Amino acid sequence: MIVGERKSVTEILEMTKGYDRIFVAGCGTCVTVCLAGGEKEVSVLSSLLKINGKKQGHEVKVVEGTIERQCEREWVGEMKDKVRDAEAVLSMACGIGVQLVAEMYPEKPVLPALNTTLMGFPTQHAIWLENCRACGDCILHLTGGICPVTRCAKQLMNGPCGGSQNGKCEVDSQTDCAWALIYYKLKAMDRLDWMSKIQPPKRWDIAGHSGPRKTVKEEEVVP
Amino acid sequence: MSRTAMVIGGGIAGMQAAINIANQGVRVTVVERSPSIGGNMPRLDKTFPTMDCSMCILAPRMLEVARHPMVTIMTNSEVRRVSGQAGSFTVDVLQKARMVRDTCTACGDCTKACPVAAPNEFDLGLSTRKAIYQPFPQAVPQAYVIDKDLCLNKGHLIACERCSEACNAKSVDFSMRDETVRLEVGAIVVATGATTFDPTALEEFGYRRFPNVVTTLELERLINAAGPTRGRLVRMSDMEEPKRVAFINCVGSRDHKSGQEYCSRICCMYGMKDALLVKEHDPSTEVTIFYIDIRAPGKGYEEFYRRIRFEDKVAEFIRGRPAEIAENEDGSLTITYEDTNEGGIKAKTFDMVVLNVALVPSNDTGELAKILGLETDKWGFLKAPRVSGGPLDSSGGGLYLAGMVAGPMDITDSTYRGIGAAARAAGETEGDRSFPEPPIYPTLSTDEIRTGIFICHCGKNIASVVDIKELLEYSKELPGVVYVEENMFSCSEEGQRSMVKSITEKGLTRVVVAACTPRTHEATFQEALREAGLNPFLLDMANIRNQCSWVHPDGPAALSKAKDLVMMSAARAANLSALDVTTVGVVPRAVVIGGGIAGLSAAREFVSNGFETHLIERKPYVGGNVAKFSSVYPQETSGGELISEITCELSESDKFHLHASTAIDNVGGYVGNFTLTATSNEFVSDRCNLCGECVKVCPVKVADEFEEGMFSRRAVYRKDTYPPRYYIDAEACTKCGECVKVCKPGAIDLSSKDIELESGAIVVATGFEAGDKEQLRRWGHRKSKAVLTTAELERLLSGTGPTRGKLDSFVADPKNIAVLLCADMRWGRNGYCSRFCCASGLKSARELKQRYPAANVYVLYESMRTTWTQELLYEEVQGLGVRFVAYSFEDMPKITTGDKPRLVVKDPLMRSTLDLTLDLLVLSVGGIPSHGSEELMRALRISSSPEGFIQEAHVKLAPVDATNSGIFIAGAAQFPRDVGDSVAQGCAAAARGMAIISREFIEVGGVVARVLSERCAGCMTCLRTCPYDAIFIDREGLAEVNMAKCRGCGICTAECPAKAIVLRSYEDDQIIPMVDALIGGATNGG
Repeated sequence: MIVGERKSVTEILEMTKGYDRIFVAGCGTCVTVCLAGGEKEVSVLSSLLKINGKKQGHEVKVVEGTIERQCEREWVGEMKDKVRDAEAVLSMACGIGVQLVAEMYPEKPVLPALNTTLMGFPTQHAIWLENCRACGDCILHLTGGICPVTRCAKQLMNGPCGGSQNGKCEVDSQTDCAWALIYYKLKAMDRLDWMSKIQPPKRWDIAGHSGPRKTVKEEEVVP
Repeated sequence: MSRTAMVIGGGIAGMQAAINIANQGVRVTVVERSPSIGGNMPRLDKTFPTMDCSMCILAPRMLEVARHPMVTIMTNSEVRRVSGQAGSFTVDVLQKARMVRDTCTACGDCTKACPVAAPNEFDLGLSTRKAIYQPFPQAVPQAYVIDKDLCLNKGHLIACERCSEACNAKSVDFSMRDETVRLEVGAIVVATGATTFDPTALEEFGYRRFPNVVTTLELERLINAAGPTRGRLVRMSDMEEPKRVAFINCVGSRDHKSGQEYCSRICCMYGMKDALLVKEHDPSTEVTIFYIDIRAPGKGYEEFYRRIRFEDKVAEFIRGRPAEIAENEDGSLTITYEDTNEGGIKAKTFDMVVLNVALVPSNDTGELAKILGLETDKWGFLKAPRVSGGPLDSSGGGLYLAGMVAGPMDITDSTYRGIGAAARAAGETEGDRSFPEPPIYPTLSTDEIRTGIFICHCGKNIASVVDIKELLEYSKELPGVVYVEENMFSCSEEGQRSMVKSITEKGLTRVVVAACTPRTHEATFQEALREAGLNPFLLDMANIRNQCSWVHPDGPAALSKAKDLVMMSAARAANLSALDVTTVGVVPRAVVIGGGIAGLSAAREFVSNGFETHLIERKPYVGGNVAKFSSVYPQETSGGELISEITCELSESDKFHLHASTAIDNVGGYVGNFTLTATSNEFVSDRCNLCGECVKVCPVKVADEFEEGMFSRRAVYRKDTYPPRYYIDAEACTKCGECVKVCKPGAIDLSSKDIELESGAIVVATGFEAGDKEQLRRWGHRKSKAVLTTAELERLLSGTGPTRGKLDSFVADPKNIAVLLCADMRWGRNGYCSRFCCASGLKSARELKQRYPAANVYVLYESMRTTWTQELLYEEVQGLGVRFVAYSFEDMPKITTGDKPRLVVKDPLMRSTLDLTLDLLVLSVGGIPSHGSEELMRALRISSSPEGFIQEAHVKLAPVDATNSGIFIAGAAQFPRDVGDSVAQGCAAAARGMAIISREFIEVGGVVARVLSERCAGCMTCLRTCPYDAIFIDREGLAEVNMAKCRGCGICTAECPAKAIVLRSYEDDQIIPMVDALIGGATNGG
């Protein structure tokens, strides 16, 4: 899932300064599940804005609303009344949601309440580990299900660098060396021979290094 | 025929026995001599170590007894004759005329009219009462009673009858006569308690001669807000508040002169609690405690002692027994004493002296013993002839002992002994079990808001601070309120009756009780609503006591806060809705985890009550630590014998199933319907003919855990335990298969099996580990052969042990032997006192002195905690010529290990240093949580207490309930304790379990969480954060709540990122109105 975390209160207050009617828009999918921008966080942030308004001596009108997904036009369309009545939309979605809202309501300032941090899964409740960089050319079948593009600091494709120490990465001693993980995983599977298969140079162009990518599923496109 | 039983005595032990007998489907009659049940607890102010208000935790329990459809209470009654035997007793009970009918509304008009006054025994004579009176405000039954000896109408000499004329309810009835009632019962629990020693005869203390010398029980009344001085602590000579208060411990205890050579067990703790109360009353008071030893053996007790003495420095502690108290002209008292720590005769003056008096048998115990045909001990307590193996069994069949009638003990011990006796007694009864009809939860139409507010005075607790009249006036004006009422004690039977009446008559649809805390009293008031035909969840409580009058002494400010609290409650009440409760079936089977003496005792109770019982034991044999003991103090039988008594009984029953060498993997389900999965490594079947060929071929050699690791054994081995066969240690076994080849009867199969068990209740009895090896290293344990623990010594002394009871290879012709107490407890990483180790250390010293009379035997102690009759062992060992040397934790003894350990210890009492070369050092070890108990607690979803033992639900009143429903704790898994206590607790855990599995269904629902599935994102947050495993994901990928498992804690509600879970009765639209009300209408300008 896409994981985000709320920006600091100071940053959000700075961003919303001068707006007296704010629509705080939550998203019911990824950011709800990663505890950053669901109904509850929307309530908490709204109360915070109201309290801050009172402290500053003026009433801030805050409207709350959480839709299923801020990354789909139909859902975002449902927000239109609330958006119209507000001076600004404070979106608690990931960067994708913020952009779609901004595109669909071009006259309104749309402010990001979250930083979109990673794509990953929780290792335990409330701790998420990045697992995928959307590189566009998956090789997990050869690496025991461990992604070297995401988990190796140098994104090496053919085994560890000289900085792999006792299974840890030289960049940060708390981080596991991806290639050490891959080695032990393949060893346990008795498939160490997979490691000797040389990976050709990676195509970084399709990994997002040449502008925005586009995915098209031809047969499903409605003309 | 239905099952019936009787409980004699209505104190805490008797009440616990009665409730738990009744909950097992047995009709029970409580016979109480005085006009109210309650016993001694109503007199106490607070209870140690939690400082809960005694009456407050007791009152709900008293009402539970009174309301229980299976319990009949007979007060003012005495057992006069008993015939028959276990299973069918005929009992004649003399019920003395109360002269007041139970139509009495307890209004008190009669008392005002009565012209005769006499000392009030409830306040120990510190106040007066009338001839017609209520023993105390929360008395059960609530009806007043006439003291016939005092009443002027006695013999109709004078026709007074003022009370009768004053009574509007026409309840006074002089025609009532004493009546003898004949009852048939299957078993009898005797719980007539104990009383405090009268110190008048100890002239040196001047009790009754000097007005400012009082007993601890009198102090409890003087300090109590409902007491004769309304909670103002004063000295009797001038009614001034004392500035210097002394406590003298062991008055009448540990004292041959007054006849009680035993230790009264509870008074050290009780005295320290009183010292804290005095200090809390007025922090400037100087408090001094004169003591001999401070005995704090219980869960949290050592910690309480340290707080009182060292951390909060509540009192100055002087070690010494005062010789004399002299009265000075100003009423002050001068105590002359020998300070045994600092030396020398000293004197100190106080304004008030409190005698911490012994406990002695209740007055008529001897007479009752005669009627019941029971033996008493030398002091007059009822005797438990098998005090370790059968602590609840009297000398007569079918008659069981609960609480202090068998010797002094605290509320906790009385409670589980009462509950344990309930299991013993229920097992003796014959016939069908009967249960009351399931309660109905009315779901009346509640759209119309008609709120009634009941404001409690709590005696003086609330009324002395908060202006109740003003609060009543204010409450009347709140939105939705149609009725207000005040009660002296809303929780009293009288208060309850009035509440039910008002709800019905005024047609109330919502109720606010402004009183104390829902934690103790919610169930009580909910019951009143239900009785009145209202759904019990339409109640809100405003805590105007604990959160208001107790903490805000300023009247006007407290009133203002009380108004706000009531206003908020009314706002919530208006938004409450009726909740439903449903039932689920119960699996009539018990699982006991752990086969030590506590677990075996629990299993025996289940089996003798006819329930299928599965005992899961990690080791290949049962018996736990006790099986290893050469002898058990004070019963003096071997541990093995105690165990085999129980296993013999169990092995004969087809209801009993032992799963040895079995480890629990997972526990699912909930109260009434648990599912346990386990792995069994029981490789040897009962086909084993004990030929022993297997051992000869086993190539594996490991340390023998049964011999405390002192010797080695094979992976196949045998011990003199149950079941009687060879065992295979699955962990050590290499599965080489040699043993299988030579086993002629084909009893060995080296494969593991998966077991799945369903049960309605689980008893956890995983015991303790003897000795903390980490701490013991300090003394050279395992470095020198001459350093042994008491646990190791038990094995070496045992006639069936590895050395056949000989010590020769460890010690020969010894000159000096030392036994070190607190070897691993009360210091370092173990801050607690292990309760049993003083006695086991002394038992070792006795044995060694008897074996080697020429040797010098020393006992090194920091504090001698030989409670109750263990004190006699202490005296006996002293008499043998064993020398006792005190040490302090600041200056610990030093041991240098070489060939022979050298000991250097400073004795602060003798002001000398002892420097010895030892032939043998015995370390008296305590108990630490058993290995693996942490994982088990996690699997069972129960909490652990700070020391790592299992946390009980309530230290005093629910000591065998774990923190998850349907799971109960027995024995040292809860906290280290001696054998008799473990057996009693095993019985108690079984009784609690049987209250569940003897029923066909249990209620679920009420205040539980509910998922609003249209909002649920299936994020798993609730599933991951629920401590009770109550949430599951349904087929649509959405969260759902298992109502039977949900405890209503509200964690999921707070955590849910989509606000998709609500806790019923605590929903946003019920809580936010409280905040809105507060912000909108606060009285204090907020």
